[in-house]
Amino acid sequence: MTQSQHVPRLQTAIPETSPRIGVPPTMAEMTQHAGCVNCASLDDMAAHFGGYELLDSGTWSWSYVRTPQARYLCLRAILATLDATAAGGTHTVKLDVSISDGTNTVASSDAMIPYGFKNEVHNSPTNVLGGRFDGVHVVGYVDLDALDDTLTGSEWIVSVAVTIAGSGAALVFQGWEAPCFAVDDNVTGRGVLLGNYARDVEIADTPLGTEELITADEYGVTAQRTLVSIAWRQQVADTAETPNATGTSYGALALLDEGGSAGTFATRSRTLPEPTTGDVPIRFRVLYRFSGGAATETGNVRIASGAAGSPWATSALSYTTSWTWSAWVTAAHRSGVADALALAAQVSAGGPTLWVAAVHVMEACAP
Amino acid sequence: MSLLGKYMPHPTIGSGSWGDANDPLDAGRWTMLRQNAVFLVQENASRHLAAHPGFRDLYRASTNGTSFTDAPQLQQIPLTYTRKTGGAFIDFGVHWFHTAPLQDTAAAVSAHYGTLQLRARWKVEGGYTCGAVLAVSPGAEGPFVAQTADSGRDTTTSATWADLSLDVPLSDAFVREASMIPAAGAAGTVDTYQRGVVRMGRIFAGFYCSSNTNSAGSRASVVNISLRLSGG
Repeated sequence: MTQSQHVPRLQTAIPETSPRIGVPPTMAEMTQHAGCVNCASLDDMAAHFGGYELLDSGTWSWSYVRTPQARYLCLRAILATLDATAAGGTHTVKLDVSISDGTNTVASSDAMIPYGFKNEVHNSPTNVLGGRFDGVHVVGYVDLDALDDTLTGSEWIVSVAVTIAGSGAALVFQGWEAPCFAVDDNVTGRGVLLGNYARDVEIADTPLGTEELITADEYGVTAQRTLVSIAWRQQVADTAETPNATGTSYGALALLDEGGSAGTFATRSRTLPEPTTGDVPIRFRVLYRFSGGAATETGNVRIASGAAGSPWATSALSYTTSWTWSAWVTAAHRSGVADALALAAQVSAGGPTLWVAAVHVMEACAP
Repeated sequence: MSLLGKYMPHPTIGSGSWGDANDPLDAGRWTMLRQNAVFLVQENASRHLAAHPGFRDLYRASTNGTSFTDAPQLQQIPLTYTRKTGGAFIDFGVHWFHTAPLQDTAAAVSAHYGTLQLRARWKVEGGYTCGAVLAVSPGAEGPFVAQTADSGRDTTTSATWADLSLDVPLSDAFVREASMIPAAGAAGTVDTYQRGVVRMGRIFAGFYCSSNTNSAGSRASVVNISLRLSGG
């Protein structure tokens, strides 16, 4: 096992046409190539999620798909008292973070969850003490390699149970994958060691050979790219807080609408089209539940874009009064240009309300 | 731009893949892989940073009062109102940036770390003005020192849904160099190699409605907000 430092943006451009027939590559050419493909796969992690103005106690959950070569997930909450008239006193926030793969859960009591997110009491400063203007930053990192030993797969759920007292609030609760600063040949996809191509060192097969350059190329393509990730407080009492739908034909979700029409999120994918369609493959899933109506009813959520084949819908979502993640649905996005993603929903018959407390749309590119 | 300007698919790793079993890469395949690397560096430099459902029925005026109808600075957005009390202010939190990979382009000269792009849909009722601003503070600083650009501010009087586009080119003035040394878990374990230098900035967006009146026909909406870094 060998690790070495990787400097972001070390090699963003290389002479692409330097290979010559019958001329062996030089050490410089190989290390340039390795440095460049490391930049492609390690520098720009794009998995993220976040919630803003968490004003009431409750639970938020985000779908999170790990980028295999990413090592750390950063969690940050910025806490403040938002009430302009709040006097000093007891305004607090507690953040209880857990991460699950749907079967196994790493609770906040686990050592992998950093301090600050273990349901401790954080004082929210009032405006007088900085309050909304700067806030208290609670920051911690999760080691994804360690988390991976407990959780299976790479499609996980990050949840935070927030407890608020007084006028405390979280301005933001966010998570993003940190860029990689190290190449590690013990972890598939985590870069190519530049020293593999040093002069007089034999370039052998995996893990030292040119195949590693191809592996890094592939991981640069499959790196997780979140397009939309939103969560709302998991509640079914207030139709003005969490998106919902009651119509028996596809229509806008309340709170994601534009005056009754389905609202659109402006997104842009990479220019990595699937060869046969010319569009970029994406996928999405939602966190849903029902309230009211008959337990025999079902619902659907669908997404529309400008790509061919739009829209794409979930299969019938079974009636449940527990918050449940839908299966992933494969869809498509226009390649390398701006697109507009619109969410709509329906229920099978009048009576029930379908609630959506999280949406995750991400690229699903393959090399 | 890379040599071919597109990603060239190739056999995936496994039996039959290029360079397998000690086979040297031929010049043509190697050229394709080299241009793939350059292309992916440029494509991956752009990423979405956040999404927000937005604000419905915001009505709070700028801190300058109801007569203010200009494109605002962030400091002209009232910070003490929440979405529940007619305000519209977003703290997108702290984000990291690298230099844009194409430093020789005209865009990269003014946007050394890429360009922040906020996209949304908005409208305002009653002939009032709705103003919007996207701003960035260096490091993790609060909104009082946040700066924007001319392209990061806008207004509308449209009573029908329209596109909102705000761009802030990130130069050195918007970000702060920071060491990122992840200390993982409760034990704060630090890895020997997984540490490096990034630029960081705290991103904000704010909106006002000149009516300052919470009644039907006097409010604005800014919905379905997406925030993206264009870094290519």
